[in-house]
Amino acid sequence: MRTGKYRFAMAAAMLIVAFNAWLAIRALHAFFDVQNWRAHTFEVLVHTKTVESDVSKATAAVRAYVVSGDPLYRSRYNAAVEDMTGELDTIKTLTLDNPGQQQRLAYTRQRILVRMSSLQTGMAMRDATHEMLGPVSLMQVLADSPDHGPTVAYCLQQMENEENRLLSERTAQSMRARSVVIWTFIAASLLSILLLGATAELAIRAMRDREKLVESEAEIRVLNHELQVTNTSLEERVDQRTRELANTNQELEAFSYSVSHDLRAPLRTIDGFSLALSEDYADKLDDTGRDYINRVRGGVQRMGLLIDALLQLSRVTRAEIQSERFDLSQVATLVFGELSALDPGRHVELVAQPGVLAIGDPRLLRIALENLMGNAWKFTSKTPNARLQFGAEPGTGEHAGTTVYFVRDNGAGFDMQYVDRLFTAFQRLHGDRDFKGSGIGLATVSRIIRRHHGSIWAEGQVEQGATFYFTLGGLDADGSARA
Amino acid sequence: MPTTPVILLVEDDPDHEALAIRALRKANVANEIQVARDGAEAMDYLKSLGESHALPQLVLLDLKLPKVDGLEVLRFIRAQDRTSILPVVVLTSSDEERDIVASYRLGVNSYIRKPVNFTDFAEATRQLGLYWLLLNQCPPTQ
Repeated sequence: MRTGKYRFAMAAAMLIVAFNAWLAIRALHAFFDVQNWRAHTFEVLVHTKTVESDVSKATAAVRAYVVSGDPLYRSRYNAAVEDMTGELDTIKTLTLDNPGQQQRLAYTRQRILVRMSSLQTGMAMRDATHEMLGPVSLMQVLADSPDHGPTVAYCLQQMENEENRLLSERTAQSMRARSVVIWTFIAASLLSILLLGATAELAIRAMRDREKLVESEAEIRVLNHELQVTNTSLEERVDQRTRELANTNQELEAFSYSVSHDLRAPLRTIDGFSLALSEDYADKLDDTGRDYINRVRGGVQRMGLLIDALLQLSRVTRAEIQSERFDLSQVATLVFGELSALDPGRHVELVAQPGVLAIGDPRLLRIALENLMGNAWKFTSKTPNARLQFGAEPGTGEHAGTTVYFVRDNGAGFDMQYVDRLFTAFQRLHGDRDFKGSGIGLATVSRIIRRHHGSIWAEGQVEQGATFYFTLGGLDADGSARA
Repeated sequence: MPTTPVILLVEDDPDHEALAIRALRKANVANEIQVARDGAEAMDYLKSLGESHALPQLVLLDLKLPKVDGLEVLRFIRAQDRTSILPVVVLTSSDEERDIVASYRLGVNSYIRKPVNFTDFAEATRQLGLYWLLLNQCPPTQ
């Protein structure tokens, strides 16, 4: 837009300057024209004057001849007439462009012819008489206008007047043209100056804009630099935080390690000496004493289990996920076998759907199944015909497109009112009196599933059993899972 | 004159030392039990055994020890020509995978996690004594 304006102003200025130059050339041309005309007029005048003088010369020569009869004067007369004819031809050529003048010239020629024939008649009379003519004849012969028509001088004067008139007319014309040229020249110059000014203004503005652009570019550069600095410091901070996080993780690991060693050591001491007491001083203890010792040892066991569960939770959080495709049914069967081996007194039925495949970390998912099936095992301890079920089904609703795995039991179940508290560490829905537990198992399972980007939820009914569902987000082994 | 082979028990906690010795005695292990309270002491003891002295028949090694830790002691034992074939059993409260792996890398003969339940520990100790001192043919100690 700005460039367009700039170009337009520039083009207009150039046009006006060209127009101005053209006007100047035209004015100059007119001036030279007038000069030419003036010269032309003077030339014509010179010739008319010569004609006039020739006429006078011819008249003078004839007068002298008539008086003296000397042939010298006759030849003078002839020379004057010859010169006159040449002059008239020249005038004819000079005024070719002017029909009026041509007409006047023709008339003048006529009048000259009349005059000359009168003069010739005079000479012929002198030749015939061989004596001077009488004053009357002489007057007649030498009269300016023998036939009383207009005189040659008059005719010539007419032509001169016309030339002069033309000259003054052309001069006036040229003066008018000059003043027009002057005014248009002034106007065009002013306009040119204005346009040049405008162009200069536009150029200056364009320059300023460019300067501003350069300035804003510099500003942008400064901002960019600041941004870069900020980015760098941000990166540094991220690096620092990452290092801090790594340190924290390291500390957490050191803490877990310390917990696994140092917290267990005093427990082992308590348990060991309690056992030594009950064995070595059995004869000095009554039933109550032995009961107390057993309670001490029971507490130590619980503490040991809690420490182990906490360690497992922390380990699950820290462990790197190493995903692979494996048979989850097989894992469920193995876990079930371990549970049976640990508690051979119970009879529990396992219904495991065979060939359920999963993609995930086998060790972590085994821990998840250990906890889920361990719970199921625990909460069916008071159920006759206890049954554990493991399987998979295609997801529906928000879990459509993924495989939903489940562990189901027909045990104590739970009240759906408290379902939200199931997966929080140390939240327990059953008292120790009924079912012993750490309150960390489901939190561990939940963390494992979350680390697999899956979700976990539960359904239950008091005394009707519970079902725990989970998905392994984005890691679907469906299709072949049910093949 | 043949003396009963020695068991070297490396254990910093005096309570656990007493309990371990009691468990071993309960399991009818009659061997002399030499106790080292930290890694440095264990290494000094092994170094002090001249050519004429018999090596211990078995080393029970805790991992978390003051001064020099159990893995360093194990490395030392395996690095010495004379002790490199010594049977070493790690007895520790750690079940961290890296400890287990590091111990086997260094050539431990067995790795046992001390359970909190002392009945279980006593049973483990009994089996340990039975296996390493009676069933297993140990390399010559002389």
